[in-house]
Amino acid sequence: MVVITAWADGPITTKNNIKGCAKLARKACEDANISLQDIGIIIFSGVYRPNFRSEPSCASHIQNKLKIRCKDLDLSSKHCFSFDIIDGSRGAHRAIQTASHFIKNSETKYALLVCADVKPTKQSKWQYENHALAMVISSHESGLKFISSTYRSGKFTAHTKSLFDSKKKVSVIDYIGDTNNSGEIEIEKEFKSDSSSLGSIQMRDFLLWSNNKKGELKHTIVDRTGAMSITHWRV
Amino acid sequence: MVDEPVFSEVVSFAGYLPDKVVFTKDIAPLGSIPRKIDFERLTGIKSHREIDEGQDSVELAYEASIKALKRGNIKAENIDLIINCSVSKLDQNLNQILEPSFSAFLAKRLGAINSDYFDVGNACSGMITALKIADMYIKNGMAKYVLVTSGEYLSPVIREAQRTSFWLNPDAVPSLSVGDGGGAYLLGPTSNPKLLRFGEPQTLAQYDSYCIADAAIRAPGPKMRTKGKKLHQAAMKQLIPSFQRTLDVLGLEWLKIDHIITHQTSAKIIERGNNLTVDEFGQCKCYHICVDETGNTASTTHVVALEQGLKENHFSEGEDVLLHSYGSGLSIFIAHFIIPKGVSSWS
Repeated sequence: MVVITAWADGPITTKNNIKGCAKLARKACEDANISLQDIGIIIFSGVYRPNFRSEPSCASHIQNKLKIRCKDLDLSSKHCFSFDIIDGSRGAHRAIQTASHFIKNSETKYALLVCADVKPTKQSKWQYENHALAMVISSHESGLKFISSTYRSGKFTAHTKSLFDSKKKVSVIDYIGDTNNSGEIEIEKEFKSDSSSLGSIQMRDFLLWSNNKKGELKHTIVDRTGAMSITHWRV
Repeated sequence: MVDEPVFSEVVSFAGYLPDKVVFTKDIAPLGSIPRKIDFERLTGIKSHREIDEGQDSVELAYEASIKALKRGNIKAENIDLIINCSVSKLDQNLNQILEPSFSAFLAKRLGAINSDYFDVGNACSGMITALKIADMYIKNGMAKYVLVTSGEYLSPVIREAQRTSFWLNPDAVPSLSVGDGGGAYLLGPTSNPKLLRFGEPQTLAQYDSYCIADAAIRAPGPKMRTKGKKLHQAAMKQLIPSFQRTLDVLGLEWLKIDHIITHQTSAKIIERGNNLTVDEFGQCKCYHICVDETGNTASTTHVVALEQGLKENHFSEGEDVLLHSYGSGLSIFIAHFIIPKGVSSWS
């Protein structure tokens, strides 16, 4: 079982997105009272990247920016492992679940999770504020404890792709279909994120809501296709 | 009563190559690259495959997936989880799939109605990374059968490179080394802890700028820029320690491993790597090269090499295979697995 030891969020820019993510990661590590060099896993879980970057992983860019265990291999050197998870708005939940597996099955004590989305190109339609959330996950006992997660498929009511705009001569985001996937959950112990927000905002809103709560909590994210992730927590 | 611990195994695997063969001499003729470089001679890549009419990244992954499911005798509706790791997620119009995940589209195409899905992004190490994550989902009881897939529609980066001046953009030259392909592994539960294991995953992020792919400028589709020489030097520096550490962690003896498959970037590089390992560990039983006929198919290179090996009857049930992956980032990850039962009857 893992806990969210500390987190930090804030606006970022497309141009300096890695710098912005690294700044928030540094703040989260400071709040967690750990050194950056304690981080063994970095998982990035955003969808929209500057100029639709497909490789390398954004997580590796963040690792390099933070200079976490950036050295050549020898027979005893300690290294960090970085990769991305892409799962729409559910990415943050998926990253927490995956990080918990790594922490349970390896010597890694701390994982850094960064969920961030930015307007990929200037010409793209973008109804959001660019935003990033950095979380430090550990096997500590105190904090917001992640218990389990379940996932349900969507109905493909909507999706997004990149699209080359031949007039503007640049790739932009193409929004296809109806994103109305609202559901009603309004009870004391359950928080359902606003599915019209970016994944990092949805996760941040849950973290704010969970503040001062006690006992078993539940967080539901519904993405634009209607796919759902439900996570269970304990404080 | 105590529950028996669960581990994972490779139930089946499959690689898929489209039919269309494109020769290196046609995309990189002598005189097209500065300093009179003979690209075919430099890389050892003679040809690669490109998608057929109507195909895209999802179709490449689909073709490999249905073959893996058939070989594993598992129906699509019995898959619990699909993890995709494609670097290229392109449709026929060269648009990149963003949301939902690529694997959601593949699940729909396969009719995997009960399957959960998500994508992993770790460049050419994506497949081994996804295998590791699948292994952990099975060990933790969250899934029984996991399909790890990739469909790499990479030939658009060749077209983009051909439109540029190699004299002005030498970092575009390595884009000529890629090829299209699909791959899939089906993982299932076992009580045997030694059927699928992993070395230590490592990211040497100081090299994260050596290979970058994003949207092309003033044209549809992606572009890739690679500092080929620097990337090659960085990768070669890590080769021996990465193998040595894995041998130590998994308790393996180099000379007893039946098959070694390294990342298929170029035939010359694989041969150079083999020479280094011969000096350090001795000549291994068998190392595989398919890149001379397939090009670098990114995250699918190992499983494409496995498929080529199957066609040539290289594999027998119970033999072991070491997969060594490099991904831009620079990510290094090694998997070791046992060739599953029934391999001789796979079609």
